[in-house]
Amino acid sequence: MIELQELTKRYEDGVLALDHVSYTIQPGEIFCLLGANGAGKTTTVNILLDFIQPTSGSAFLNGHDCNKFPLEAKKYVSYVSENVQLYGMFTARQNLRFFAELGGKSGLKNQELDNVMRSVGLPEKALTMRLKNYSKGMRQKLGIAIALIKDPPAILMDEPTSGLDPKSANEFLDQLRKLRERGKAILMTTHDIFRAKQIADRVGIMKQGRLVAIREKADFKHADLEQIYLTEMEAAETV
Amino acid sequence: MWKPLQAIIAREFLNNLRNLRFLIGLVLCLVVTVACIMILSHDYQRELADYSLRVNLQEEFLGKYALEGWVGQLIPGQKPPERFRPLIIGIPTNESQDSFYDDPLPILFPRLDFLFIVTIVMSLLALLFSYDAVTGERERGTLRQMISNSVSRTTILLGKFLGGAASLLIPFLLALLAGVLCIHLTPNLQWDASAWAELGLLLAASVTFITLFYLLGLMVSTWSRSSAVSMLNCLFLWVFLVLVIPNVGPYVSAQLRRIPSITATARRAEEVRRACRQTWHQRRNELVEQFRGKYGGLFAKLEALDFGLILYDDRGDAEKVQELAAADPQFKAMVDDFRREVNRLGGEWQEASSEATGELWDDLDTKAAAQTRLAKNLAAMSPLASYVYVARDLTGTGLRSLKYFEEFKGEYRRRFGEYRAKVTAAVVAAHKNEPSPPGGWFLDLRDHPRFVFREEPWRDKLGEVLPYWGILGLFNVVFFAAAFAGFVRYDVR
Repeated sequence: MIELQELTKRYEDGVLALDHVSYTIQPGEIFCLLGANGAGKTTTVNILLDFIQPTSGSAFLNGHDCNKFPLEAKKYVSYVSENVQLYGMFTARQNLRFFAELGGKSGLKNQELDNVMRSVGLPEKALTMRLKNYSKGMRQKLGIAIALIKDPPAILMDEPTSGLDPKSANEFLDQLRKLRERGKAILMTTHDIFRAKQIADRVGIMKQGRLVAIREKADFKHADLEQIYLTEMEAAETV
Repeated sequence: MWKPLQAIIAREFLNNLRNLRFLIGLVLCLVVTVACIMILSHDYQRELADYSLRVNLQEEFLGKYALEGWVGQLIPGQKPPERFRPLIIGIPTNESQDSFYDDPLPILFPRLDFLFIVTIVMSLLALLFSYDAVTGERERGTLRQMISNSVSRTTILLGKFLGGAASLLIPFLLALLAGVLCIHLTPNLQWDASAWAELGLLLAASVTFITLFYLLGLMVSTWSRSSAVSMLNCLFLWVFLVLVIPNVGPYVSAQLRRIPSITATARRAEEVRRACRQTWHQRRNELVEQFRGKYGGLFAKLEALDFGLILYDDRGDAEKVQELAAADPQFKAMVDDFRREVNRLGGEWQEASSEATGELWDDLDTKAAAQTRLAKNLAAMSPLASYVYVARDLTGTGLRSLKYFEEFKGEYRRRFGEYRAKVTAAVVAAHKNEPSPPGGWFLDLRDHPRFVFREEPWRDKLGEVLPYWGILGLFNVVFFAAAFAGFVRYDVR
């Protein structure tokens, strides 16, 4: 479970990146965070991973305060970035083993590692290929494999489909559905309203650090999510 | 903590091994080390042959020309080439420079040795391995991925240090191994257990020095946002620590503890001698006046003979004075009295002069020693200087070894002196009724005590270098602490 309570972040230069943001993501739920650049999406992820400290408020992963007890909290989360960057001189298997060990899963057999990589759609020849020869889509899939092998209850994804071709993006969404079925609480930040509509159970719309709206699946399943997004943004402008 | 640490160490180690800089480091270390050791081993052989020749010549001279008056100049005491000469070029003495009069290039372009490899090549290589240890990961985006896991930054930093330093030490250790193999194959170079122990200590000190520079790069990396900035900062610090401090140390010391030059001291000593001589002349004139008053006409006779070599060394009729003294007991008593007083005054003058000039030179020695001590301690703020002190003193190639050799030789000379006195006494007793020939009797010194130089025990050397080794250790601790402080607050975004 991912929980934010009145989370606020003001940077040293005075920019208010998050303004009293609160929401909870339940197990088995995909929550997509929409917003323009600088809306505060990545700041939220950064606070959840303890890369930065909040100015006020709290963030929790599986009930553990992310900034007071970061090592404990991070046991329950995996992270997939916009551009998964791993060690180019190592093979996919070696990279996966390394991050599995960092995630507390040591002593895994090659077969187990390979199975996880196959499950995210990596072709057989890619398993022992060096990462420097990977396409972005393949790296994103390996990022999912790293998230999977740790098997945490929560997953944070920071614009994971950015730059992916349609086929790879669709495959990626299939993986997300599988994760949801396995009961993971998933926070995904994205600009891609089309993909968000396809995959999200709820969407949060952010503008200049504020969470201006949260919409349930039922609200946008048969509606134009883009129109909802633009309407909410305009409404926030007038407020 | 242990499993992630192991994983980070292994990844850092393997990542460096697959990097081009590792290959460059390995080739550089192997080529430079092996080439250096081969050249220096050849030099060692040459110096050893030169040393044997000098020892044999000295023995030959001692056998042929050991006259009582000359034997002092023939006492053996040649310094053998240091056993670590194939690794480290010792401090040149006049003897060894003379033996290379035909080859001025080593003076113009100093030869590379193990110390150069460690202090320059390995320190730069260490920085090359570590300057982007953190910045590079941040730039590639892997640091975010790593820190998103439940791994403390201390574990990451420690893993990076251990894995990175291990990968850095591989080229060094392989090169040293190849070098030691070369040394082992060098004829006439038999290392005993103490030499191997010293090599082990030298290796440990070198590792302390190399890890220090790895940590310096790591520290700078944790305080920099980009690898380019980190590289520049590393180079600046390297120049400061390796080149500036050791050279500035003696200069600052010379400013803080000023001492007169040897020429100025010699001039001052001459002035003191002149002043003493003037006092002597004045006292001598007073003595003459005193004797004139005391003996009157009798003393006038002596004065008329220009004091018969008593007062002046270069004039006076000594034979006439002897004749008069033989004829006149009163005159003889006066001459003896005068000679005694003149000798007493002369002795006092010599003593006063020697004492005053001796004080000047002693003062210069004391001040020079204090200046050197201060310069040494100031320079020890540089890791390079501290390492050089440790390496040279451990291997008997530094200033301390020269001092030790002089003390060893002094002790040998004392034993040789006792032996010579015994032989001389026997020879003089055997010829007691014969007049001594010019240069004295010939001494048969065939069974004289042989000069066999023994190195200072390695435990004594270790005790001496521990403070400087401690400084190297302290640098390691400080740089790691600073790296930790930088990494804990490092913005991984």
